[in-house]
Amino acid sequence: MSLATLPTDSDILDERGIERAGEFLHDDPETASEFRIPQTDQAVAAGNFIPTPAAPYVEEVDYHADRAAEAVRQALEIERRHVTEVTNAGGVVKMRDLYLESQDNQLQG
Amino acid sequence: MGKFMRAVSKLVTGKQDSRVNRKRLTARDLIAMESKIGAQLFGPIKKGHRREFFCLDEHTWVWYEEWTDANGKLQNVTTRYEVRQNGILKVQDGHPYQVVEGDELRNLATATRLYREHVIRGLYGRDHITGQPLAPVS
Repeated sequence: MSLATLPTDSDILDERGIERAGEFLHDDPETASEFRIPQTDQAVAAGNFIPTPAAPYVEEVDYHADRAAEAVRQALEIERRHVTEVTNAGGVVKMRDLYLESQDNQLQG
Repeated sequence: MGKFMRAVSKLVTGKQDSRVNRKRLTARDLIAMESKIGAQLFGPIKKGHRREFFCLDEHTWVWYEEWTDANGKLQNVTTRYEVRQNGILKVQDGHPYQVVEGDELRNLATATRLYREHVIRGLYGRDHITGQPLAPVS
């Protein structure tokens, strides 16, 4: 930024000395981060700051939805494992085989 | 053969036959007995319906429902649930394989849990958790 293009106070500041300063300063990446926070503080102090909860709110909803979906997925995985366990060896079929084996032994004995 | 087995045999055959006591039961006989218990797990069976629900082998559950429709024609549906390492598949005639999920998976899990408990305790006289023989009721 050259001296010739340096803005005057009236270029930078609006009537409350806030908004346009922010706009101007944010155009310069080197100074933007430095001035962004004071600009926000000033805006809050002037009652001119509008919080925008939409983005964090949506993120929060997504977070809870993700967790709920994960909980459902885990619950279903447990159910699936249960069915597998009951069905595979160690479940009913094993007991059936034990019965038949025991019956054979009794008949032979 | 225990008292309960005699009672189940009577239930299956519909008669008290002393020869049943000496009959050697096959795996098929046992499955038929298990199915009598399995069919009751889903509440009362509608009049005119016949239901079977049983564990066929270490990978398969079978649901069979039979009824007579309004035209007097016999209808039946056989549903096979195949338990595989990567999921449970539902197989019905004329339908593509479906992965069992959601409420159906929950219901199947509940049914198999109850089946295991009722069959192991009631039919085989063992504790469904430890697998040990139940103590005789005095």
